[in-house]
Amino acid sequence: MAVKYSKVAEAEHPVLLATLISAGLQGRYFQEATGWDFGVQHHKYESGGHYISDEDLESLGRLVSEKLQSDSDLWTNYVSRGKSKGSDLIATARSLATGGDQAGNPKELKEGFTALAEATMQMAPFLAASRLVRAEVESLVTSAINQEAGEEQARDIVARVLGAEGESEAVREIRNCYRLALEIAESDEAKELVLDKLPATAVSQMENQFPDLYERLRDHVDEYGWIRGQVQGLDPLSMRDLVERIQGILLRWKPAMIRQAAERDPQLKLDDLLGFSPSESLERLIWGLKELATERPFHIDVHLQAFGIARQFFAKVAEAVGCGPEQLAYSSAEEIMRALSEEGELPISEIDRRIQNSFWVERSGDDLRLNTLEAPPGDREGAQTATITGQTVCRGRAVGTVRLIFGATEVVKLEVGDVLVSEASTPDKMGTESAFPGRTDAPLGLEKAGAIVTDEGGLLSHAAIISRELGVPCVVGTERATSTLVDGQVVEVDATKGTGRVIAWERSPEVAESPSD
Amino acid sequence: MAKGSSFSEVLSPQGVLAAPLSSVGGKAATLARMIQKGIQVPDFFCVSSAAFVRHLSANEIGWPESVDLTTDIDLLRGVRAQIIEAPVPAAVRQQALEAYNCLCSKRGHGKVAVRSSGGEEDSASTSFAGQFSSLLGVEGSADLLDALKECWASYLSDRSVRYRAHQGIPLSPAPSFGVVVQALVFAEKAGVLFTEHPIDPDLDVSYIEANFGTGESVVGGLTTPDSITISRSTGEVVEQNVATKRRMTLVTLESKGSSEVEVEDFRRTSPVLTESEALEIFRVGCRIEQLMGAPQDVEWAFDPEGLWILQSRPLTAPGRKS
Repeated sequence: MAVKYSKVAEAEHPVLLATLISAGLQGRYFQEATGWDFGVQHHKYESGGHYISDEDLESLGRLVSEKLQSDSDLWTNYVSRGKSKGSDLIATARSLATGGDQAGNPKELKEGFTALAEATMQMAPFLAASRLVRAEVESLVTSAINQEAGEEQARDIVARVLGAEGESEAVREIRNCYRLALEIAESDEAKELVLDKLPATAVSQMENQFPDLYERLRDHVDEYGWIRGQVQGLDPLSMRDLVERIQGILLRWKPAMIRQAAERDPQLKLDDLLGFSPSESLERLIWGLKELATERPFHIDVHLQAFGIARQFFAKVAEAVGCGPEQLAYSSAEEIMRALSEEGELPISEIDRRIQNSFWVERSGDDLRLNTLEAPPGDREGAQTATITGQTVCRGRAVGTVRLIFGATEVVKLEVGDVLVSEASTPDKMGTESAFPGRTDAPLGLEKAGAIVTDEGGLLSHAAIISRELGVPCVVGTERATSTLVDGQVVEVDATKGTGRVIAWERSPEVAESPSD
Repeated sequence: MAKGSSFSEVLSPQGVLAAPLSSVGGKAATLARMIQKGIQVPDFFCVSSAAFVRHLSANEIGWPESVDLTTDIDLLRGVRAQIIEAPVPAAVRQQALEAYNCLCSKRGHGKVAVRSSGGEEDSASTSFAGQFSSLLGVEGSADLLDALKECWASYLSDRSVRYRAHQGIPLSPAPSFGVVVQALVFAEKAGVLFTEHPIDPDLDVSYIEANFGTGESVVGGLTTPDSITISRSTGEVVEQNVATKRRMTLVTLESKGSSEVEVEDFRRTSPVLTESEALEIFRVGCRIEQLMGAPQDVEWAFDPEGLWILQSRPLTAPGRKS
């Protein structure tokens, strides 16, 4: 009988991480991590997502439901366990990245690798469980609000509590970058230093003149640098990159506008939300639901973050086993362990084939099987849509949230720092309805754009002229920006060279969590 | 303001040269100077701001000089509706139609482009410009008068008014806003020339973008056009990029307005311009730059008669050295 699967986590990651997460979804790790006596039997990794069988998901749901009846602290314990396993994983990765010179010492490398693998697998069960715990708590909250305020309100309130979820790490990174920019904007001396010097010089002078500020920039790079690092072919965010981005922000906007971007955070205030005073138990339930809503993206990000932070460590492992970092990433955990124990060598030609083709991981009993299969050419192309190129018409670099704009009237949707993505012109009503109606007549609100990307157009098109006038990094003639990028996705626009690139920092939100059969 | 029969509210290019800039606008003044220097510019006449003022007073339309630009959007809409609905005063109508008929008989067809020529527009010192309105392929007396009123009304369009409010530019006590009526060029190919490189002026090159059909597809970014880079010092083509041009805009004798069409397969990847055509554009551009005393942004077009310069304006400062 064919097993049916549901997707439990969406993530772009290589074979190594896929096998570790798969192993983590075994019964043993589930029990150790969550404290629940239940394990997933059928798991597979396919086309960028983790799936567990519908049957497993159902039994897990029943277990969570029963536990919730008997244990009112279940989700608080669950949330704090998830957080502590997450920080264990990050701490392990950080200690490996900053640890001494392990190069040439296979024993230490093997110990480090084992610790990282173990911590990764401990974190994995939360990927599968968070959806179920949330669904259960959601129904509890709904019925409690039903009793206290009536049915009509319940749906609306729950939706708004869950609406707090949308904040990804990449979005938080952007906001924090603007906070730093604001802080620099408010000190004349710091602002002068950042604006007048080349980024590299500014970084080194800041260390002496503004140690506090320097420290916070350092923290930003440590905390968020991995997001950029996980994108193929990009080095992790450096202090220089960060200062360069802040330079762009300071040049482009007045402090009041930078503040708008820094404080975009929609804070959820319970009293405003409810319009009545909830009982103590309802308040706790709502708090739990809100907490769970923000946990889910955290569980996915934590794995990627740890692997991003541990990049230097992986480079050493790769050197020790005689392959490149990308080849290491496309090896399974078992293959790497064998190679580090000097029991065998990495199957390099097989690994190269995996890099070329897509792959999937399946668990059957205690065995973990990793298969590769020839992907249809269309799929392969789909996997590479992350980078879009076009002609740079105004130089600069920016990171922001994609806003698809199909006409002048939609320009009001822009928030400070958003990446405006447009066809550049609207058929039939050219010149009157386009986001760029005139050569110099920018619709109000356009000045908020952090970067502009268009499908069509040249150096002398309205979009190009306006972007130069506003000093906004701009890439035109990408042919497919509006069809590839999705509203709300976080991207980096690198318009520092003649050929400009748009690099996706995170998958489009619409694709995430789509159910699968 | 001058009154009496001696002052014409509709001006020939020679008349434009003699009139104050505020009554004809920058676009008309530049076109007139180019014609004077023998640069091939389509025949045109200019409806001066005096005509606009007469339209307002004859129809008792109050000019909203003390209006709060941020809030009185409805009031401005009302004024715009009045401008469009009121009949053009007989004196203006007579002069405009006379000039139009004269243009038609010279060119052998009745199609014109009606473009705004604002007093504040197209100047190098301010980034406030806004093509208030520009209508292609206008034909016949009735359409011409409607287009004229539409251009006038666009002076108070939501977009330009909000932009003014945002930039803190008040409305002037009386409109300083001309309208240019220009014989339409049935462009086979057209585009834009920047006499300096748009990104890096230090490169010492001029830069051309070109597509088939009219220039709207190039400035509107409807398609990615061909580009040609020409060295300013040697006058030679240093780089040519031939793009895949999927769409273009056309105006024809039969069609009303301009329409967007697919570029035929066989010439999508063909170069739009020959080298000698590109160099001809470049040379005319150099002359205009000399004449105007500043680097220029030139719209050009080719029809079977040859090269036409449709308009030219100074490159605005922020795109240049910062």
